[in-house]
Amino acid sequence: MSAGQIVFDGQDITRLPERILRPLRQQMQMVFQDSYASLNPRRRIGDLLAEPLRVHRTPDGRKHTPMTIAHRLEELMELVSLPRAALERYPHEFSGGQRQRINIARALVLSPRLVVADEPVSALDVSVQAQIVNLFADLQKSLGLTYVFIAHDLAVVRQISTRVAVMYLGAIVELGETDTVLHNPAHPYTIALTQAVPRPIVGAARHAPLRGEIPSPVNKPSGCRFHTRCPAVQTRCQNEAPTLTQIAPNHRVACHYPVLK
Amino acid sequence: MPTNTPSPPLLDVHDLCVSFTSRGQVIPIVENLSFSIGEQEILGLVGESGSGKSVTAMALMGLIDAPGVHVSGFARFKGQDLLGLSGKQMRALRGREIAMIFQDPMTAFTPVYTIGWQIDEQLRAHQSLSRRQARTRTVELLGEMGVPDPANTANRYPHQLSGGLRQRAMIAMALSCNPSLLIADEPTTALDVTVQAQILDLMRRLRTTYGSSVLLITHDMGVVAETCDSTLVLYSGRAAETGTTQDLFAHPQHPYTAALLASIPPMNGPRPTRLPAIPGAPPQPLERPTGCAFAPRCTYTHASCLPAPPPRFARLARRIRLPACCPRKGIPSPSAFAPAQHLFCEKPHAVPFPHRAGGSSSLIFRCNAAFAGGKGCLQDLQPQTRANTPGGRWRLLYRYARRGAGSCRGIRLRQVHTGALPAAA
Ligand SMILES: Nc1ncnc2c1ncn2[C@@H]1O[C@H](COP(=O)(O)OP(=O)(O)OP(=O)(O)O)[C@@H](O)[C@H]1O
Ligand code: SF4
Ligand SMILES: [Mg+2]
Repeated sequence: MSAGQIVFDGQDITRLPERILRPLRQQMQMVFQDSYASLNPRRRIGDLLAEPLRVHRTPDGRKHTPMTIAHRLEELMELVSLPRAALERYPHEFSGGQRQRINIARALVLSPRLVVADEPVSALDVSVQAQIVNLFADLQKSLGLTYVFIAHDLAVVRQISTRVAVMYLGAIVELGETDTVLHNPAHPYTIALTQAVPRPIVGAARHAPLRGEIPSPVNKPSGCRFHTRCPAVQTRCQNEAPTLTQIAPNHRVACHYPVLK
Repeated sequence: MPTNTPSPPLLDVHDLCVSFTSRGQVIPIVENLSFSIGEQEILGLVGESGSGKSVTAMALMGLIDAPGVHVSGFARFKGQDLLGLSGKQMRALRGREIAMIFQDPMTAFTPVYTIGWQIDEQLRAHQSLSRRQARTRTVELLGEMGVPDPANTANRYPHQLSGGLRQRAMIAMALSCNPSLLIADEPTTALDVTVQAQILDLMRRLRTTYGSSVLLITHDMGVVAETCDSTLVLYSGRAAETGTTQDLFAHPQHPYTAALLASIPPMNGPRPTRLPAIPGAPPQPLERPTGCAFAPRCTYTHASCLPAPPPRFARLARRIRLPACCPRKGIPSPSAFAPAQHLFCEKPHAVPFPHRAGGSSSLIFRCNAAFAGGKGCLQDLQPQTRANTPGGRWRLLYRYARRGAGSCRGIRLRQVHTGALPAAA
């Protein structure tokens, strides 16, 4: 069951009929964590990338010709820094990082405006992550893209995003500009999160870790969902669920007792 | 620091090699790995996916039983060589002297029994305890691992517990017989960071409360910095650098360690517009260069990275910090290396490789921007020839072969290194 609404470019798309939704979907694409599972292993990269072009029409309603398709594919390879020869190969012939480049290319085929990337770098080798993070940043700049970048690595989040939404048990607990949220967090969970991230610095000050286990999502605590682990918990937190409230311009927090600086 | 104690190490691994045979081909996975762990020391084994961390742990535990597997070297643990023990001797040691925990606790527990029952059994297998005594100890252990309401939790089944609790229960089971060495293979990778912090805290406390040494396997440099006394960096099955965590992070000597640390996005200070990324990807075991495995991605490749002293002969001092990159004295540290010379040569005179009979693996090459053309064609570089040049100098030449094209059109050769001729093996 789901409720609520999703507004894309000023239009509520939650209950739109398929006919109207389809052209809108072209403008929203996804990149997933598992670079391999999202590519059909039996098809060449060129075929995989050409498919959406064969199905969809150009913005002015014309069909893509083999010429325009070939041209677009080369452009895409250039964008994600893969050799043109990659179009002739199969997914298994690439490393994880290269496959993620292919997935990004595929998300870009129809020139979307929004790309939702679900943990796109967390399955990659440490030494390859930085390449892909850079690629995301470059594309954002050159194509003017909007990303919803889902990640658990705060350092990667800080590197890539303008604004951050922190979630706990399925709800946003804090939302604001990246630097505000990560360096001046107001929600006790965000504070604990920023302190718990292991940093590659020897002898960095260590904070006492948060106590307790993450409750199961099917049996969420009453009141504030974080109250079972919160170091600042009060009686009110157990009964009354806080709502996302503005505490400063561009900074919203769901906590009865946000830490204000 | 426990690292400085003069007492002999608890575990001393020397020249560990593990290879698998597949379709008649020997695939070297771990090559000439040497390290030691002192009493109550936490050694971090870091490396990327496929670098051989788990294989190393499994080999030490005597748990690799795939057909065609070959393990050599020795691992001295309390006066015996772990690699030479029979299956029976190893079983007696496992659980009691050396215990292991995994990324996925479900692999350690049977789903059909309660976790308490399983820990009881483990205790009773190694000590003569009554059922009741065993349970008392189990509840005690779970409590020490920070499991809330341990008496009741002991009666739950593995699937009824959260990931963090299962991980604690597994550590409790591993510690039940007070092992002197705990091997933890990515114990926190699947956990939320806030829970990871709890488990790492627990690991640090183990050595004081239980006197255990820990071999902590991870791919997260942050976890190493916060938890380990010493660190061993593995790259493609070979040791790249080892030393105290403090030194290694403060002054990484191996270009791989340095590049890896540099590529981690910072949490403080200004955000760089681009991260200093390492180009390319780690090589597959069969595509490992015979010289330094990192050479294809390294910015400092120079003549002494050449395969002349195969890694086997590069002395890896045990407790001294020594990057595998600079096996000899007098070689400047990375920042002082001169970038390799590059030279494209369209018409070389080709001579077959004399010093690696039947060798099929690639040697050393460095891809400069002009050559790669930013097109990620590192994988396409194949060693082809070594051309002798007058005066006992030599050149390594590589051919750029277009894969799938059948014939090798577009051959381009380039000189990668010049240096004294290595003695033919
Ligand atoms: N039974 C086997 N037969 C053949 N090759 C194997 C076998 N087990 C492991 N390998 C290979 O050995 C290499 C090292 O694997 P290993 O599991 O040790 O990596 P790892 O460093 O633990 O990586 P990860 O971080 O992904 O766990 C890999 O290339 C893997 O494919
Ligand atoms: S300098 Fe040479 S030996 Fe050292 S990492 Fe680079 S290529 Fe390897
Ligand atoms: Mg592993």
